[in-house]
Amino acid sequence: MMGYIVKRLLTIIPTLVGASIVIFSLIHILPGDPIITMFGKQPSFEAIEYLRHQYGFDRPLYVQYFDWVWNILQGNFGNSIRYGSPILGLIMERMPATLWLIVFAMIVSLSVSIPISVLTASRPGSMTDHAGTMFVLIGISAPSFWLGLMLIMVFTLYLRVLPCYGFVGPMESIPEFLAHLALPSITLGLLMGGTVTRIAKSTMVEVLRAEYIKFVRSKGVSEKIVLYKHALKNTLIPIVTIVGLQTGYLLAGSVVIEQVFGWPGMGRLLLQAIYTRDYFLIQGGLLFYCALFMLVNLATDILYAYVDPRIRYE
Amino acid sequence: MAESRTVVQTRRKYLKYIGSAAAGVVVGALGTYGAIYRPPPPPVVAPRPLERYGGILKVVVDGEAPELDPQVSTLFIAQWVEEEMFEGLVKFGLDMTIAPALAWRWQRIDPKTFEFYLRDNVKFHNGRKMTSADVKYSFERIKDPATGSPQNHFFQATIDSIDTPDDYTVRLNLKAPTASLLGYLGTWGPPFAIVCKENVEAGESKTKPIGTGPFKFKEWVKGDHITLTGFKDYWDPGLPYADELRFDFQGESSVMVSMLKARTVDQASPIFPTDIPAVDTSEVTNKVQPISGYHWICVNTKVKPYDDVRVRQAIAHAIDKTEVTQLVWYGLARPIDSPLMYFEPCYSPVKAPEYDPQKAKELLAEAGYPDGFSDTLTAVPITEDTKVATVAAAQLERVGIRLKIETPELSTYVKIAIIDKTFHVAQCGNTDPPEPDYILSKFYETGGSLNMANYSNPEVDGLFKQAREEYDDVKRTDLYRRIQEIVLPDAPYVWLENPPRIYAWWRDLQGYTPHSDLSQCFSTVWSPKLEGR
Repeated sequence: MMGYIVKRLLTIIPTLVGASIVIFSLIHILPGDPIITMFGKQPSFEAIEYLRHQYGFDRPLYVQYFDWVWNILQGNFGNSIRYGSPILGLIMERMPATLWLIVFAMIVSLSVSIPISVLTASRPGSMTDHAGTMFVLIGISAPSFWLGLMLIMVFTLYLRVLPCYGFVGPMESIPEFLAHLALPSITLGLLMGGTVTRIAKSTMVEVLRAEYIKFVRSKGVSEKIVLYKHALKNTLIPIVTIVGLQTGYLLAGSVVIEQVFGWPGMGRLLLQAIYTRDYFLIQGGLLFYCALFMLVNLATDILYAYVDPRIRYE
Repeated sequence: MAESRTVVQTRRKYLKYIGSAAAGVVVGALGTYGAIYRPPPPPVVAPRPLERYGGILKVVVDGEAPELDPQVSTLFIAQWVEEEMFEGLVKFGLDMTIAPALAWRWQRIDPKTFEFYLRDNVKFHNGRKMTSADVKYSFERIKDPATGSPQNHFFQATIDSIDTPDDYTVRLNLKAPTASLLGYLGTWGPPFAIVCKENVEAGESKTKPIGTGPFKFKEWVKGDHITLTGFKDYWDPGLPYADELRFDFQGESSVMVSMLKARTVDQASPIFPTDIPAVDTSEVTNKVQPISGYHWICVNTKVKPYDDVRVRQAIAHAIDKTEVTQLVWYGLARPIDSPLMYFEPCYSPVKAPEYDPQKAKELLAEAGYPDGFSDTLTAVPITEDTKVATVAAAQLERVGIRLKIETPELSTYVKIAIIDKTFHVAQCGNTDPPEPDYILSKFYETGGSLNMANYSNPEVDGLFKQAREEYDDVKRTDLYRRIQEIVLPDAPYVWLENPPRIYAWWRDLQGYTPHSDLSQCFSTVWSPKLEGR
């Protein structure tokens, strides 16, 4: 197992290199650069030229790329052009908020989708089944910002029970922390829940048709134990897979949710960085996301070995 | 024996000499003293009533400042925070004339030399006294291109050297007479702020700034809010009233209105015209404040067919500015013929080509486009700007000019429309300090920083140079009038409307006055109902 993990960790490196080339090229294809954007409608052409030269933005692209990569390898992510502070510091400052959001969104998603998938799979064709299908459709099709705004309207403006804006750390006040986390994580969780429910339900339906389930039922075991103890365990592999893949979706979706809810996370930071063409921040942040995503996928693969004893890694 | 006559005469002669010498010394001393003696700054206003003090004043602005260095910022959302922490030498008063700030008096020694006399009780937020050396440092920082100040060009072109004859006197030696100097220095922001050398050298000027203003920086929770605390050693004793000032960031006007009504904040701006009824209640009031902002449509005179003046004039005649103000601003904006507003110095009414669609069609036919033509309109991707562009494009379509509207993202827009000028027709908007040279020359002078139309007229350039060196306001006003009378018939720009800025606040707030140059001085604002009281 250890050997497998080490091998996987090593493959992350060439993947990151490839990702870095893609990230760098995509950002530099966009017209505009941080200096021009900084001056906006008050350009002082001499200062612009001077600063572009100072930052090296007038050098050929491949020179800028290798310069950046060389710095990354030495652990220097550079300074944000806009904020002036070190990028690693900015990322570390904002990452916790996004991580809380993603973790709670996943909790919401799983706590909603697993019961629904079990219920709808065990009652095919019934009203519950149709209701579950509707839930899946809404989750897959609803735009994230729309759902977010709807929830704000209901819970903040009409019912006045939950705040719609900002972040309070868990160290400061647990009730406030949970209150502020509620709406954004529910929005993101419901959206992701649609996809997870779909996969979980179809797997569940298949598992419930298996021979060993008939055998357990014939032993006279209660339906609840059949579903939650025997059937559910066998649906875990696709669920774990989809949850691992959905992390990427969550990282991307959190950008919109963070904007809607004023959540001070990485997504909002990256969005601002793209608007202001803060090259170093975008590159550093996206590379960080890539590495995070790859680590989550590695964790997913390792989890398989615990979920399904038949899977062995060399 | 009595003294002989000669002795007495000699004594008298010596007495006369000594007397005149003494008189000369006394007169000389008094004269020199009079020349160098300057009366001290006038005493500041007596302390205010105790009931005004205390509380946390909370306001919301429509975005998060990217940095808090006033010499570098170009966005209002940053400047609204910076204006509470920083000051310049002078500022614009409510009546739009230059008023003292850190300099309590100034004079023009000769056409190329200005002297500013600084207050002697100004401290930075770190406790150190501000002197003329700080002014010199701050101005040289603006002049240094490495700082990245948008005012760099102005200082490079204007300031020759800066002297500091003593701790509280600054002398600016200019390269040429510059009538616009005070107007630039008084700009809201303030972009010509006096900054703290230690703060800049520690690399914290963008994130933990230190200034001389009534509020000092406390914390910046990125993505959430910025909090400032009252500066107890502010040079105007008794100010500010509030203990703390907090800026929240929220981009949506409707969410801002909800925050205001729920009293999550005490004041909010800018508010959309459609939200005015929601902020006109027994608890909350609002003001529709005229500001020096405007929108325009311009063409790229280097691109066919816009090099033909008839096509440009046709475009100008096709636009109905009143319709723009009705449709986009619900009648709250004013149609304009110039970016120089009636409440700004050196204003004179000028006439741009009038709305006359028939004439527009005739001119197009004359120019060889009887059926009009198609092209692209590049507009700024902000709601109001896009609305203005849509209305203008619809009006142009009535005369046959079919424009497809494109709203690239802001950085791309800046590159296309302002830096590279690869657009054909563009819509844009801007807001200015009330300084006529700044307002007009950036559009009409060859190489002007916002001369998107690539307009170039040597006669106009000459008049600008003349106006810059003319200290007499009457003559200056006349020169700017002549400039506009030459440019307007040429129609490189069509000036559309002057929208107001709408501010809303709780009625119990006292001392809050929005200003036409966009400043909102929160140091004089107080209320018994602020949080924490």
